[in-house]
Amino acid sequence: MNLDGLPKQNPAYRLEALDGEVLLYSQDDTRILYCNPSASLIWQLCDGARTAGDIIAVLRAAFPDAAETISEDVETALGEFERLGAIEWA
Amino acid sequence: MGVGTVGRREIRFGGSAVSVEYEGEAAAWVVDFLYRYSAPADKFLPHLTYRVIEKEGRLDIYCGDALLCAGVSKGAAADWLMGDSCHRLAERSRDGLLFHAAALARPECGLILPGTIGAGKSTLTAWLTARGWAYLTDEMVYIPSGDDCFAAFTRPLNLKTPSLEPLAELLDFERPCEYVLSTPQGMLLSPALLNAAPSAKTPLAGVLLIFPRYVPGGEMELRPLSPAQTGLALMECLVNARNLPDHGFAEVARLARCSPGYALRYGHFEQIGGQIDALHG
Repeated sequence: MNLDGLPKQNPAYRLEALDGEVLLYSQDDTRILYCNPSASLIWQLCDGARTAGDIIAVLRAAFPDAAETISEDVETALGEFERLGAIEWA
Repeated sequence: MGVGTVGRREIRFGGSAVSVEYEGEAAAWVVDFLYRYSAPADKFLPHLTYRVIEKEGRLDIYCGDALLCAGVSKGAAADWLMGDSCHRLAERSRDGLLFHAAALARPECGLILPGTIGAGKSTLTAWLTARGWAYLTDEMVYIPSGDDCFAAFTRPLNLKTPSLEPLAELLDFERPCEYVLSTPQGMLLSPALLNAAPSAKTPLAGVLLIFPRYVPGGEMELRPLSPAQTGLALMECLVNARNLPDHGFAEVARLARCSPGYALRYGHFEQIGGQIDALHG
């Protein structure tokens, strides 16, 4: 994963928050993506201003007990978002 | 209910309608067998008309001028017409969510079993009727936008041949032919045989969404789903998304918030026992 890349939400995706989890739905091609609470948080940090490395740093600071797995979680989530076209890289 | 041997019936469901014209005793019987229990609904003009014509004991089915089935038995005609008419109703369905789903009811509670083809909806539905649940549908459930009730398309329950053996001790497949019709793929059971409780609408309050998955020989699992997981599973069974604003996403989320969802995996009925009943307390 390129830690300097700037992931940005694809505006074609609509979000529905349900009890801390999120469903992302593409109105263009009816793709749908389920995000657990961790992935929901990562998605919300994909604002086009933070790099992937920034996102990892933010989450490590917020969840120090999970610091060891956060890098892998972010890589997995961003990979899935990218695969479904839910993010673009600036 | 008696029916004439020449006539026409309109079938409305989910904001959509088709009509069926019939000629001949066997044709009239098939149409009545298939649609007797479909509840009257809002007035929508049929967007197509089938014609079922009896000739020397065999049936032809036309749609417009096109001959779609020629010289088939009652069972084959019923199987084809039921499947195609449901498909045609679904393709024009609007103003609400149309799910590929079975449904059953008991006083003040209900079950909706959304699932794609092969999930085991019909077989599980038949088993649940033998446990006292009233049959509503094995195929289509419709929830009008913003409504707190659902409608079920009550049609004969469609069992494929492999499902017959495990259900043979629970359901009487030897009943007179007015209740049971053999088809090339299995059997159609009249709702009359299944404690059917046709009703225009069933309240969503007290309804559980159970997503079945039949895995031959597999372990049983009945797992609660989060609202987001429920919403994801519902979207996979939504038939008319293309006809709805935002593909029905907001309405699906509304349903997922208010109705508990469960994923059910099972390999045989003995594993399930009373666990579904127990979910209702």
